[in-house]
Amino acid sequence: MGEWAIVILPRGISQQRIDRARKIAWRVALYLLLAAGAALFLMPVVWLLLISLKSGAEARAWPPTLFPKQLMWQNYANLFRGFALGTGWGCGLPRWLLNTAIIGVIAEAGGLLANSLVAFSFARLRWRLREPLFILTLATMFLPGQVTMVPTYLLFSQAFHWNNTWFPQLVPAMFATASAVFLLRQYMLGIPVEIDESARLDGCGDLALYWRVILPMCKPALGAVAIFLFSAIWNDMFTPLLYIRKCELWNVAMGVGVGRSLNTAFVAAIPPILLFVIFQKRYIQGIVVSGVKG
Amino acid sequence: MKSLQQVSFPADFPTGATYDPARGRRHRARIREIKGLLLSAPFWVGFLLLGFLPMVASLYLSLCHYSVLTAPIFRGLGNYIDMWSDPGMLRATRNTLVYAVLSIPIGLILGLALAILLNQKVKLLTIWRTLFYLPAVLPATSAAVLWRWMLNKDYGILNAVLVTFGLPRINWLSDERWLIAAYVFFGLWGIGAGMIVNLAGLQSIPTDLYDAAEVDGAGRVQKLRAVTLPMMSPVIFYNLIVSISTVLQSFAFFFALTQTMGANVTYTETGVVYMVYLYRVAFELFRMGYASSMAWTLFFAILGLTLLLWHTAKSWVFHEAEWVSGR
Repeated sequence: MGEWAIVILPRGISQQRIDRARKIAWRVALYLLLAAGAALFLMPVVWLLLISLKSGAEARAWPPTLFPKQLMWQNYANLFRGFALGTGWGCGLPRWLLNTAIIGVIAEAGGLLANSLVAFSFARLRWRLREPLFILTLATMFLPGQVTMVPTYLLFSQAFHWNNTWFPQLVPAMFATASAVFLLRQYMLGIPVEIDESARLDGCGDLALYWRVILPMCKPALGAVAIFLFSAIWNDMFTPLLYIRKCELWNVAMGVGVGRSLNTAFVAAIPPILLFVIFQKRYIQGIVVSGVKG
Repeated sequence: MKSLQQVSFPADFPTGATYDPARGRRHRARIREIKGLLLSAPFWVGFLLLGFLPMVASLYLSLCHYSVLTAPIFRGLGNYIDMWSDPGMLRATRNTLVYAVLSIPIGLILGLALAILLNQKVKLLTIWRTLFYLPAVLPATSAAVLWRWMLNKDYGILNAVLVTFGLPRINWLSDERWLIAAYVFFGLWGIGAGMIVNLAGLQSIPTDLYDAAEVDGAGRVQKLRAVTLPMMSPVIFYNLIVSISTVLQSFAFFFALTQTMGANVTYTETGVVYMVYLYRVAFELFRMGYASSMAWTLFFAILGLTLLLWHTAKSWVFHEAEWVSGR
């Protein structure tokens, strides 16, 4: 390409200007490539968003129209209509949102507490079984989920009779998981030991040190863990599928899977997207450190 | 202040049996141990109840015939032998393998290529990264609903494109070959996750390596071959291992795409993948023993592949040890 540029450019042009032209050409090609890729990725989504604003007949019409003749915002408003009338608490998006919110809040509270306590005992206390237990924690990352699936179901469903309850979603969330513990422990190790020492001189016991000193300093890592816990609850279709027959107890993911409504599917996609957009930096650190997708 | 050793006790000092400083130390050590175990209980109790015990139970069940209603009947390796003549299992395995073999390599290459493009001091990186990562954050069931629309025979966008180019419509959801092709497209749609890990890896390559290559007169392609790829090989390896295990275990999207959920479930065989079939065996046919043996087979397949790759990694992964300990 360099040769070719020299031939067509007027004589006396400096090598520097050729280099600059090549650089600009490369940048233009780069942005064109990225834009084409992004369009390919997002075109289907945009097209479907437009469909979600069409009337039922127009959405299924052939040949398909690109823009709706009339924007049917009521497609989305209708999802919440039962809510406005006070009758929507049976089955439907408002109820599923409420269910997911309740499950999510409990799971977040319990999960954050559990994971940070374990991380604290691994990072800030000195005890002999600490190292072996930490290695065991890491080893559970390789614990095959599909292998524990059947006995866990038998335990929850047949032994505990937790069918049509939220316990199968809530109880496992109350225990620490390897990636969250790892992320929090790494963060806690970065806090200087002098802080512990001065806190202990001020009369802090272990729990006070954890609650008043270490935990407030771990907010960024706790944020990343909170995002993972939320995604796990929000995206979980498998647990309701196994245990919950009553549609008024479903979470949003399950409701979307059964109802297959485009509008509900888009509403269900908003919170994860917002979380990613807002907390992008923390989110990515979480993915990179723990290797877990949100 | 006098230290403890300098304190001299009078001869008749009532010290109990004997003064033993080691006893106090042992006591404190025991307290520390109990505290540690109590605080870490949310891990090890969960591990015992929801990890270790279910694993042992699953191993035992995999050697049994168990349909929940009657007690498990031990039958040795029978389940593991039956697999080889179970058409549903063979079909699910074949579909999953075809999907994996097609989507993993293409996904790895495109994920790396995209990350390299985004690493060229691109303006508004945050926005580009968000756009490409967006499909990966969608909940699986939402993605499945979107894809059912895209794949629809009569009014889906894919067929709309085909018809525009004068090609015949494809019945994506009921023609298994095309359905698996659609799976591959879906897999590529989600390369954002791999891209993010790659991007983080690229950003941690020391710039002086590129400077040195430039001094030696390396162009773009040479820099890619001599610096980027070797430095990225641990990340590529990591992505490979992760994608093998996630692709072979993928469930939610494929289930929501191909099966009807809710009250009236009718099993759709077309495009069934391993975990969807496992779900059917366990929770629709209630063959818990056979399902457990399928789960262990998948586990050993993933473990075996991982170990095999780990073994070959020595020849192509650069400074693997440094990466592992550096994390």
